[in-house]
Amino acid sequence: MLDPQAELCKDSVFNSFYKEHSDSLYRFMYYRCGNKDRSLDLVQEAFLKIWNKCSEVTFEKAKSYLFSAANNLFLNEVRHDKVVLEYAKIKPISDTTNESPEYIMEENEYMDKLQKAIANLTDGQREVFLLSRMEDKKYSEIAEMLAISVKAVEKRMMGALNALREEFQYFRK
Amino acid sequence: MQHEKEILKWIDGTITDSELAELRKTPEYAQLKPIIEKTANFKKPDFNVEQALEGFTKLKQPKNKVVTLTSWKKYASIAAAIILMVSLYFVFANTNTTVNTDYAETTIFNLPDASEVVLNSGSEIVYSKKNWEKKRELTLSGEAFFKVSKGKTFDVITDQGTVTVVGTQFNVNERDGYFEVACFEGKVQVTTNNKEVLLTPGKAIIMIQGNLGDVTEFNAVTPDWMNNQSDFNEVPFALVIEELEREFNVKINYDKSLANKQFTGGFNHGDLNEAVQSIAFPLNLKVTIKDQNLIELNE
Repeated sequence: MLDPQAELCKDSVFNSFYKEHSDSLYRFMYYRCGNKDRSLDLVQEAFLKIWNKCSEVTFEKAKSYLFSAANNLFLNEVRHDKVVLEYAKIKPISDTTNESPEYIMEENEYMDKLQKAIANLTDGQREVFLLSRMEDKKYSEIAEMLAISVKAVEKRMMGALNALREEFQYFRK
Repeated sequence: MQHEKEILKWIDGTITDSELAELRKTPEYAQLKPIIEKTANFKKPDFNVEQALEGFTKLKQPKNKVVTLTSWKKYASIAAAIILMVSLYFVFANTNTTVNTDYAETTIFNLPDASEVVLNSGSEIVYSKKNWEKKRELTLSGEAFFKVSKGKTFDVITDQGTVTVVGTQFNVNERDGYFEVACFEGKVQVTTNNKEVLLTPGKAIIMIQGNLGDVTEFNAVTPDWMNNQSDFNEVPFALVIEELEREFNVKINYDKSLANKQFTGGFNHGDLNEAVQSIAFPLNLKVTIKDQNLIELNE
């Protein structure tokens, strides 16, 4: 590595950088904006920003630049969609399941309700909750990704948990 | 909600075993546990890395990378701009106009003050259109007839002398070793080798090989060459041959011992055969036309 600064300008290096971070960035963007097409656009735009400045960015800093670039691009967006996550519905006819039809019905009902509950969280709460639960991110990592303090992450997480708990307060399973 | 601290730690995976044991006894944990567990059933949104990378590669390629100018490129572009400006200056400032004729070709043109120039074959005139009003001055090599409009002095500069005139018609013939000025109207002053000669209408002067001859008289209204005729009065034969070669664009081979022989006579520009005969006859020379462009004269 003669010139570590220009390393990122090599196609091979940049491509592996892309492969390493594009899917997590994509999901991050999806948890924020809830639109798959726009998430992909944001991912491409963010990578393009890094690519155009590849000679100024060290490989070590590239990831955080990437995420903050995506963040800035996201903040310029006006429209937000509801985040609706898909889940694998349990199919009653499946041979591999020996659950009772009632259980299956209840289970799918529960997932539908959870799906809607998550979609109804505030943007801030949803981002934190999904990054933690779906991406196994620590509060400190989430704080860095969203450019907010850990305290703010915890506050949003508590807000999310409270909101979800309230939704399920009278849900009898 | 109670036990917030512990709940946050539990979610973040930083809770200790003893703390978790305590938390498990709380109703909050009981309420949150299924929510947290079931969330794991959600699928992460699909993302095809290879496909996205392909799309990205297409995106980044047409985008021209901004090339920052390195210092030498900066200087090179400044230098290029200066060279361009300088050459433009010369193109527009140096307005010297050149008019020339090939062998067997004559041309008539007007100078900026409407003075008329008839340029004989194999001749060239250079003058400045821009400075013409300030200074009527041109450089001639070869032969030309001038009809000068009235105005300031009009200079014809040649290698062998300068001809200065005011509102007149005159002919200047400057060939290798031969310099002839004939005045048809007005007054012409010829300056050569620090000698000044004033010509009045009908007067001409010839200088051969640097030797200025006497002023001679003639009757023509216009130079003979303009009437498609070349006349010579005691002119070296070599100069006559050269004139013939120019007028007809041919090559004439002859015995060089005849070169300095005085020739008086002339030829018409209309027909080559006739013209050659008319200069060969007085010297008893035999004409052999080798081909269209080569003629031999033998005694």
